[in-house]
Amino acid sequence: MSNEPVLLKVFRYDPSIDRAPAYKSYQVPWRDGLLLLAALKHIRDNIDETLAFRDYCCGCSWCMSCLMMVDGKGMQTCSRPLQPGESLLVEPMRGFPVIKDLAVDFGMTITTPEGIFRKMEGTVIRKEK
Amino acid sequence: MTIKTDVLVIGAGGAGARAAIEAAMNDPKLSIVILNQGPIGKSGLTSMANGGMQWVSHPDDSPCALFEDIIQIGCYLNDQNLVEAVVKEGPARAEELIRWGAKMLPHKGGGGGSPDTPPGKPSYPRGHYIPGVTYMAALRNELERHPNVIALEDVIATKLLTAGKRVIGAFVLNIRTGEYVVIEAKATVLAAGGLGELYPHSTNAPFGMHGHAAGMGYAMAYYAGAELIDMEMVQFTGNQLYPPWLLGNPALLSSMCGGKYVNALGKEFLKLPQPRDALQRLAYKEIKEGRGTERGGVYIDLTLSPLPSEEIEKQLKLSLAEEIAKERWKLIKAMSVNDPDPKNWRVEFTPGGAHFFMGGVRINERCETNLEGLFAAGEVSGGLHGANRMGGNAMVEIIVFGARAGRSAAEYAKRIDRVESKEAPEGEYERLCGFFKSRGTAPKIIMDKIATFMAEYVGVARTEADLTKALSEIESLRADGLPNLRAPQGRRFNLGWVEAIQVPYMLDVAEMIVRAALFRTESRGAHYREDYPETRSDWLKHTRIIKNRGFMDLTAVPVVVTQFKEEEKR
Repeated sequence: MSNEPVLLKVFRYDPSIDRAPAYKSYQVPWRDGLLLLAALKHIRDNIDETLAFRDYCCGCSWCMSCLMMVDGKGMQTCSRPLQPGESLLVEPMRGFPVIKDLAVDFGMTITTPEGIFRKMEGTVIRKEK
Repeated sequence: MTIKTDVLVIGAGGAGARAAIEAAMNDPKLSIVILNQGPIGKSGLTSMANGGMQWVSHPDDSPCALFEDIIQIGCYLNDQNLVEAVVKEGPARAEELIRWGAKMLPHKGGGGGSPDTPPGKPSYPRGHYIPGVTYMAALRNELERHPNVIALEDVIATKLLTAGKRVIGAFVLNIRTGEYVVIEAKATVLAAGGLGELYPHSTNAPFGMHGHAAGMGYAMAYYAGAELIDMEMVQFTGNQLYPPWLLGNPALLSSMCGGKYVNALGKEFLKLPQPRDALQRLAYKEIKEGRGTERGGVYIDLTLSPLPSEEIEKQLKLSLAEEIAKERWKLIKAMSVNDPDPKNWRVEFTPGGAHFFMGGVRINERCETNLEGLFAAGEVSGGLHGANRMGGNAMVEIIVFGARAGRSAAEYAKRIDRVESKEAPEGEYERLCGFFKSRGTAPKIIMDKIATFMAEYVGVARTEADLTKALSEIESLRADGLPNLRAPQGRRFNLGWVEAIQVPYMLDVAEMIVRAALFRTESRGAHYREDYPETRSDWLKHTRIIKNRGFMDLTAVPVVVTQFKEEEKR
C-alpha cells in the first residue's frame, strides 16, 4: 500500500476580519488508522496553528460536535477514515452560522425545532452588539 | 460586560446541568446562568461517557449491601454521608432522567453482574446503561424548558471572584469572540469536571481528542481558598493503544465480550472480577517485568472468549451503543487492517489511562464547601468515591449531587444579598492576553511535557524518589516554560489560546496531585506507593490541601463515618 499524503482543501473564514471565505490546501502525512478529525488536529498542531474547528469531542461518533461537510456531504469527521493520497474538500456544517473556519454555532437548531433554543448559545452576548 | 444573576453554574455536564435545572425549579423568580466550554450535550465528559450506572434493582440486593460495597471498594476512604445520598437518591434521580427522555439501553453495562463487587461478596446485577449523549440530551431538553436559565456555550471561566471568604461569581472568557464577561452571582456552583488531560493516555481524551478535562475547576477553587481532599487519588483504567480507533471501553471487551487479559507471551495474567485499582496494578506489573508488547501494552484477547463470533459482535455493538454510534461501527468493520470477525481480535491497551478523579473540592451532603457562596458537585468534588470509584457510580453521582448543589445554591441565593465585585476585570483579561507573543513555546509542547512526567512519575505505581522528580519537573516548567508560553494569534475561537490559558492551572493541579501523593505514606486503592505497599489504619484519613499564604498546606483530616466502620469488614 502506498503512503502518499492526504490533501485537504479547507474552508477558512474569520467573519470579524475577512471580507469573504477562502480555501487553503494542506498536505497531511498518511498513517495507519488516520481519521479526518485527527488530520485536522495535525494541521493545527504542526502546519497552521490558526485553523479553527471543534476538537472537544467524544471521538466515538456519539456527540456530533465534529460534524462538517466533506466533499459536500455532512458527516462525523471523527469516524471518517482517510485513504493514502486521498484529496478532500472540508467545509463547515451547512445550515449553521460560522464562528470561524470549520467551527459553527450548533446552538439554535440542532436537536429541536427553531425557536425553542432562543435562550441558549450565547445570544445574551450577541444582543449587546 | 457584566451579567448579574442569582445562581451561576460553571460547567454543563451532568452535574452542572442538573444543578441549573434544580435551581430553576426551586423558584421561577431566580435567575440562573450556566456556562459550558463547548456546545451543551456535545462536549464535556458526561456526553462521552459510556454510560454505566448502578442502583439496586435485584430483589436479593439491598441499599445496605450497595452502601457497604461502595465503601469497601473505596477502601473506607469514602465520606459516608455522601455515599448514603447516592444510594438513597440514585434510583429516583435516574427514573427522573429517563422520564425527561434519556434512553436506557436494555443491556446491563457490566454484562449482567456488577463489574466490581468486592472479592468474596455476592454479585448482583446492578448495572444499567444510559449512554452519555442521550443522558445529556435529556438534561439539555429539560434546561430549555426553564425560561429563567440562560446558557452560555463556548465560554470558559478562568477565575472565581471573591469578597473575603465568599465567592461572588466568576470571570469568564467568551471563546467565540475572545471578549470577557464578568458574572456576578449570589451563589456559584462549581461543576467543572475532571483532569484526565494531565496524563498522556486518558479515556477523557481518546486518541488525543480534547475532552474538556484540564482540571481548571480544582485550580480555580484552590486559588479562591477552597479545601481540596484526596488529590492523590487518580483512577486509572486500560486505555486502548491498538487498533488506533476507539472500540469503546476496554473493560467492557472483557466483561461483556468475554475477552481475556493476556500478556505479550500469550499468557492470561488475571481473572475477573477485580476491582479497578487491582486490575491496573496487575497489568502494570506485566509490563514492568518485561511481558508487555512493543507499544507498551497488554492484550484483551477476544480469540480466547468462550462466546461465539455472533455473540461477541452483538455484545460489542451493545457496549458501543451502536444504535447511536453507527458511523463508528461502520468504521470498525471497514478498516482493512481489521479482520471483520471480532473473534479474531486482540485489542492492545495500556494501564495508566487516567479515567476518573476521586479527589476534589471538599463538600458536605448539601454540596456546600468551606467557602460561602461556593457549592460543588460531580467529578470536581471529592469524598464520595474514597480511594477507588466503583464502576457505574459517576453517572449516578452527578445527578444526585447536581440536584443537591442546585437546591443549596438556590436556597442560599434567596436569603443573601448580592456583593459587587471590587476586582477590576481588566487585570485578569490582560493576564490572558499576555499569552499573545510573537515568539515562544506552543502550549501543546508544555502540555505534552506535563503528561510525560505525570505518566512516568505519578502513574499507577509511585515512589518518593519519582514523586520528588515530578516536583522538580514542575518547578523547572514554571521557571522556564511558563514565561515563554505563547498562544497562536487571533482572539476569535482560538482553542490554542484556551490551551495556553489552561497550562498554568494544569501545572498547579499536577503539583497538588504530587504533593498529596508524597504526603500519603501508605497504599490505598488507586494510590499505590511501591515504597509503602501496605494499607495503614492510622492513614484512614483524607489528605487535605488548602492555600496558605501562597503555599499548598497539607494536613490529614478525618473521614466522615456515619455507620460502617473498617472493623466491620466481612
